[in-house]
Amino acid sequence: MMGDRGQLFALEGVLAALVVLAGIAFALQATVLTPTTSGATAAPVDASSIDSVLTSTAENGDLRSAITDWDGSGFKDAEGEWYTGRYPTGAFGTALNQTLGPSVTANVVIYHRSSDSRKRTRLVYNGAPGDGAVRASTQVTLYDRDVCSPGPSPSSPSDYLCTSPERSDFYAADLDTSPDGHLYNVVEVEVVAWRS
Amino acid sequence: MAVVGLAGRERAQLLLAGAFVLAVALIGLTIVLTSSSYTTTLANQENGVVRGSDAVTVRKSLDHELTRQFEFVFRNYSAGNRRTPFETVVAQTGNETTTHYARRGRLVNVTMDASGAGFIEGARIKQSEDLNLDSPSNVPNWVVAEDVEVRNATLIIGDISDAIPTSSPSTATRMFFETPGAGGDWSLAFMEQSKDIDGDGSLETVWNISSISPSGKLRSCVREEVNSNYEAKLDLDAGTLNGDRCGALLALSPEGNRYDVRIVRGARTTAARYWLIVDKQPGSLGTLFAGPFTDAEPVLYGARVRYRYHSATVTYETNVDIAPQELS
Repeated sequence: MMGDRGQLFALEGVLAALVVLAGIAFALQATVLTPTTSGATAAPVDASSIDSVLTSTAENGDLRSAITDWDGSGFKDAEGEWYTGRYPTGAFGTALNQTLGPSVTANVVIYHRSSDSRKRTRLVYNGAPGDGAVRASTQVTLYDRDVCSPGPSPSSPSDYLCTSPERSDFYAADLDTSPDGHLYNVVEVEVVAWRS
Repeated sequence: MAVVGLAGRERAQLLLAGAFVLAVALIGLTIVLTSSSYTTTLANQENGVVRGSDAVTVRKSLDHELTRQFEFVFRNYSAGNRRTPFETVVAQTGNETTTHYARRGRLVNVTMDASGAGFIEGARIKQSEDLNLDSPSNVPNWVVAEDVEVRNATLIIGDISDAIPTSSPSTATRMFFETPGAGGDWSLAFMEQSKDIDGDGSLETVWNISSISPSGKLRSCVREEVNSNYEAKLDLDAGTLNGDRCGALLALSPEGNRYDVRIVRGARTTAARYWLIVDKQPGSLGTLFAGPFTDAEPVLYGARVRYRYHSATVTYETNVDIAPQELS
């Protein structure tokens, strides 16, 4: 009889220990149960939608047109250097507007390298991003012929290169100014979107 | 009494042990359920970088941008001077891409074989003067190119001989795209026929171009008679006849497969010019082009670059063939 009781006590002890351990494991799990415990809000738009806009407009040239539409001091038809409160005129701006809708605000920033540093040029700027902002980016290769006009009847490859005044007018640096250097710059276009 | 009391305590202890077991089971079940829901949350938070779609997107972007440069180089540089301007851009783009993505914890690069082996050399076979579709030595059944991938096959036909009836494929000029060592041949037939186009009972001479599929299906386009006032330009790659879509040509897709290109009864198509770009160098085409008007010159057919993408979760390396659909 006493032996049976001892076994029961031992079993009780083991089960009690299991309860304590399970309780600790549950408590540890509970600390990571919700990804929004930091107070993050739901994303205003799916980042893959912005990715799609960037990818498709990069492929058909609309994005390149938008980021090279520079008149020497700012983007064409912009209020200042960049667009505020609206998207660029043209297919890229239209695609972005249709994807994001009126309840979402976005910044579009172009990162480009100069000879010694990485610089930032704003295409669209609507202030600091709010809570739950999502971002997407793509890379666009710019050739001299994308940035500068080759003239009415180019007859040789060098006619497609930028001249020195044309280079100084554009916001990004020409990374290859050699006599046969057709690469202008490789820029990163980033869209950050958040709920207004 | 003591015996009864002892049995009661043992029963109570058993009940307590049972309660503990139940408690552990419930807590365990709860942990499993919450883990499952957390896993779902994590899965939904995966982005393109984690899933690997980013690697494909970047590759497509680089492919597109380098293709633009390849086309530019092809169109604006002479045959012997096309490598350097393209190689330079590949190296620069690779460096810039690496720098951009390194900031985001990804290693992305695109490189080209330094030995020049990345370039795919080809030949442009052409007849640049208005002549029959004969071989240079007037052979009625001759092979233009053997075992080649064809790009940009274009024919400009100025006349069809009136001396011999050419109203059926069996008597007309035929251009065959034959799969070496197997069946499945495509062919084109250039014919002149009399048809009542306007429905007024009067017959008019029209030009009929037909394609015959490996299964024998015949597709045709009918156009105005070709003669000294009206020539027809056939673009086999675009599937157009004088810029308009032609069902007979749209069905044909010479690109992407290897063919022997053979012309039969070429003498019945006169005042013709043609050019086609193939993926073999002129030296490998044999002596077919020894004639005075048909020749083959070296061209840059395409380029192969090495693409590498490494992130914390994805490693992707592949060759990207830079080869535009249509170059002339």
